[in-house]
Amino acid sequence: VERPPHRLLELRWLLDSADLAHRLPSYGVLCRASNLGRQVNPIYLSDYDIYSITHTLFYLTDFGRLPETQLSSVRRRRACEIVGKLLAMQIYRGNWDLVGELLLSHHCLRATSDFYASGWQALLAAQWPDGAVPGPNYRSQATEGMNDTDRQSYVFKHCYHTTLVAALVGALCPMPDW
Amino acid sequence: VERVSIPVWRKSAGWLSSINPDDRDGLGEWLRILLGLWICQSVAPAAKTAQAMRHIMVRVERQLDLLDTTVDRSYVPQFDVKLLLLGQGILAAHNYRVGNAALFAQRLAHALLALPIVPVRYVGELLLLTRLGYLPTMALRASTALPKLVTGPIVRLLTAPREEVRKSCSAIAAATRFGNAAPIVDRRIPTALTAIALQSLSDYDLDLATILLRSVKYLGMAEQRSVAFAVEFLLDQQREDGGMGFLAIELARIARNDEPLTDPTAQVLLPTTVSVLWTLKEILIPDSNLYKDFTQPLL
Repeated sequence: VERPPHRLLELRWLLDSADLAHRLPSYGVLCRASNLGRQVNPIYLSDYDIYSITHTLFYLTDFGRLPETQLSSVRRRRACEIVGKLLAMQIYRGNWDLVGELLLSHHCLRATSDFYASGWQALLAAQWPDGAVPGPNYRSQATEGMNDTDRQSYVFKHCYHTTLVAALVGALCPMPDW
Repeated sequence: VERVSIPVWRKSAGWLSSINPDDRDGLGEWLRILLGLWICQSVAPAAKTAQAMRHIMVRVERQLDLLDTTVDRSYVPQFDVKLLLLGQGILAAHNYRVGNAALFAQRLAHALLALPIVPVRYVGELLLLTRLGYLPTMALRASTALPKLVTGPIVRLLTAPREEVRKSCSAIAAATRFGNAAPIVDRRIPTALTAIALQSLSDYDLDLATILLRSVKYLGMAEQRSVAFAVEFLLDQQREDGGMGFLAIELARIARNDEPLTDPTAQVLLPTTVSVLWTLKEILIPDSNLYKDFTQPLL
């Protein structure tokens, strides 16, 4: 199976977490092969590209438990810059899944940006009274005419991931000074 | 941000000179072509562009002579007034006649002078009329306050709907006198506006993105790396024929909105191309400002 670097990082992180032996490349080698800290134009990044950046950071730092140590100073500076820019872009786009992941990325980098507080505020405002946070593919019109069971199933399917990401933000990311 | 290479401007000038609008309802299009050629010539002078400009100025001159007879007892043109005034300035700077556009400009100047405070939406006209000599400099009585959307919390700007962002850009243009007065603003405002521009480009909303990038320039501040990303993307939108923007995407958007589409080049590609060229010039050429420079002769 051919896997991109961030997926290999994921596999390595899972195997390491379970103390299973493997012959995968080191975190440093996989990090250097990833998109993280490369000079990339954010306009051209697809959602998949952005997830590859956020997930690389999650696995490199064990979701922020460990400091990031694999990036060169240049790549680290670029990583901080792109994470800040992408956060602002995704707030405007209203993609709360990526907003959450990019807030977590700030935490993994132990960095802040001009838009960190705005990300928090926007995510809080997007959360529904029942605690769920709408995912990027959730459409309220799609639930019209559905019975309760189907509606709950639709909401769960389209919101569970974003809600979990938001919960992780709440658990891990420091609250900004408003 | 480095200056864009000369072939980019000449290629666009070539495309602009190849358009041939219908004379019956083409004044707005002729003026837009003239503005586009003027922008290209001001950055990358070329004999061919100069020749095309002369040709277009003759056509516009003839159209302006007909203005009062074609618009049925009214001097209100059927298109953007600022575009008419810009065209008038370019014509006058090259010793071409402006015909009945002068009468329209005089009437507009009198109407604006009669107002105690000029509404924000007319500040562009006011600036152009002043530059053209129809109004004294002191006539510029309009608010310099920035819109609330950009003076409030950044999150409000980042979560605002597209039309609100667009309106705020117009208000920024008015407050900064289209870049001729830079107010003191929180550094994060132009940074946020640039981020919205990047996302708009990612959504292929060239119209809003170019307006946002000019607003950032008017505020006198820009995070250079983000602006460079936007410039790189805009340059990538130049087609083989020199036009800016890939028509199919814009046409699909118009179709989705059920807008009538009779002339795709005039309705979509021409305004987009001129807006992109204007934005590139303002960003890339130091001290460049259309509202200040449009009366300079180039030929």
